Amino acid sequence: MSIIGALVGFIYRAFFLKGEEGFRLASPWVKLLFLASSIYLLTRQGLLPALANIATVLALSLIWPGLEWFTSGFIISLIPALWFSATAYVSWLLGLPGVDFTGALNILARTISISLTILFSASTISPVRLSNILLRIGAPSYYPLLVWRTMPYGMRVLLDSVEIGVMKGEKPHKRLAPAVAIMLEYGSYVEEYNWFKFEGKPAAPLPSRGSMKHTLILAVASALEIALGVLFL
Amino acid sequence: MVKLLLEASIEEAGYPGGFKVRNIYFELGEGEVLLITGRSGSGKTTLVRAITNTIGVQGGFLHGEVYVKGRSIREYKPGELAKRLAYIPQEPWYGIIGYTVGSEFCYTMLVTSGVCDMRVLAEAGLNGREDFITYGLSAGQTQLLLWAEALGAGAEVIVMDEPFVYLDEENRGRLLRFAERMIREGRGLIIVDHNPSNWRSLNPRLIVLDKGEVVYDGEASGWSVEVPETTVRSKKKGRVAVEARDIWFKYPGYSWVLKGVSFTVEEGSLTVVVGGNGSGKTTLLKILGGLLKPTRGRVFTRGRAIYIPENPLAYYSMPTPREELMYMAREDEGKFLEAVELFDLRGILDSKLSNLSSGERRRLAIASAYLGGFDIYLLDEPTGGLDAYNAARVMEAVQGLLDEGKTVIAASHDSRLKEATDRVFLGGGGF
Repeated sequence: MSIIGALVGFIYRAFFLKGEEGFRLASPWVKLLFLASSIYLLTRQGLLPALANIATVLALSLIWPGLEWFTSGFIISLIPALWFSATAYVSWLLGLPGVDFTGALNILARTISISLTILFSASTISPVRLSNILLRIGAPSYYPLLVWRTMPYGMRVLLDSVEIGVMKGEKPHKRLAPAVAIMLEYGSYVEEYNWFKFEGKPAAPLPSRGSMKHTLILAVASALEIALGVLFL
Repeated sequence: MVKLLLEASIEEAGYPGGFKVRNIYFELGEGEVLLITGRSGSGKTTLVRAITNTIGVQGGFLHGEVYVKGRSIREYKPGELAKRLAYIPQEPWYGIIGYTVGSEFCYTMLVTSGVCDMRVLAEAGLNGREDFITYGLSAGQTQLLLWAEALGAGAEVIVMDEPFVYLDEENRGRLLRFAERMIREGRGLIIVDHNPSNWRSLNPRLIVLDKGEVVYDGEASGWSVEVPETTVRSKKKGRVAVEARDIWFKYPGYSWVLKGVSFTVEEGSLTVVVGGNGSGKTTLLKILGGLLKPTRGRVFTRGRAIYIPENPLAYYSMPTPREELMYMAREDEGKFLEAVELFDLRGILDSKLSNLSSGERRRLAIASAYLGGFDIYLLDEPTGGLDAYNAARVMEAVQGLLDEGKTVIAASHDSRLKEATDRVFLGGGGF
């Protein structure tokens, strides 16, 4: 499998693997609280707050979405983190502006921490609740549902196209056009077959459930991060 | 007396400067079935678009009227029409916008009938799957979801385009029983199918289209068509081209798709992989081609393999057939012309790929791969949704490959393909 294929797989697992379950059912206010507590913890200087945040996010991700998200999320976060830290360190070794080994470790941990927090928070967004918010403000409420529906399809098409390109001995960039052609065709059919959904308006918000268990877990994690933030002051 | 559900009086419908259907008149009453058939390009889809009021979405027009329950389809609000007339497309996944079963079902219900009653999902066999992502549904399950939406909306007319194409035997039986129930409940069915014999038990009225005109209108039993020969002859060389050893595979977040699959394929043969919806036929082809890595087990191939997906648009590299073939022939005019003749592509060389029919796309992809000098051809549903004539032409293209000593492995639901070869690999148990 090509690097692009592996990357697409990681992104799919990080964002589109699960349905309306787990932390997506937690209270939106607690989700915001967790995001705020992570940011608060990351404002503390040093390696330990970043490591504490990484540990918290990874522990939460094992509860939901699960091990596959854990590994994919970590690998995706590792890519920019390694790039930033390694370039800064190599630059320092060459006598250019950069950071020493401890500084590079710091960059690595903080980038992973920020990236994981963003990925995890994005994974907990509930398209159903987002759709209901849009309905309430009078905007087309099908957008979030359609985006979460279409993205994995688009990624699979891109992946198929790239892999076929590998079989045909072509460079990956050459395979973008066929993938776009398929997505245009997909869009045209979706527009045709769902026209009444796009032109009509739901009579009421979509039913959405809550999960006290996941709300509580996220609240405890937020409290822990705030406490750690105070501790690292 | 049978109550009228739908009345179509179509003088002309089509696309400005393009294809049109003409002079089509029919009525559909409660508990009646209308079957529309014809070759690819005969106007079936255009007619369905006219009936379902979607022709305008595709930039087309309708001269005439279509009435549903005595009211013109143009007078209905979108949700109101969908409440009375449900449309289940050939590729059911295009008919879905919700990311989970529950959100898709409820969104449609709230647009059409204003209430979402999840119990209808159970009637369609989708209970307990409300939170399941729709991307992970098989074609059969997706079709069931659309059926549930039609049921939930209380649609009195249900239009189905080639509903059997992506269904295995079990789901075909389920769909047939579902259709029988709809008829008993007094709903009307309009079914587009290239194979009218699929629906003989429902005793439908049959309309046969050719070049946009009705060439037969009457009892289904009163019409017959000569089915072209589709049998192929392998030129086996006795050597093993593909060997799969104890293949196991699972997608992230799902259970095992393939469990310990082992088989060999001889050079120069056609092997058809059959199996139920979600049994892993496409996955197996992708593993054989190296597009997916098996979780366990190994694949050995002799020669270069190419995978041609169900929608070959993902295969092509160039915008027109001529450019695609010249590109794959490395600008060798002689080889290009040879492929054009062998796969009978002369008439479509300068068409846009997006304007080609399914059959033409598949023949072109096979020809392109042939010019690429591949030895093993992994074809995903090569005859799916094609009428007998076009399926036969694709089979001729496959025969062309076999005559050149190439190895072909096809994944298919199509019984015609299964019957066309002596080598069928039947998925079951671990597959």
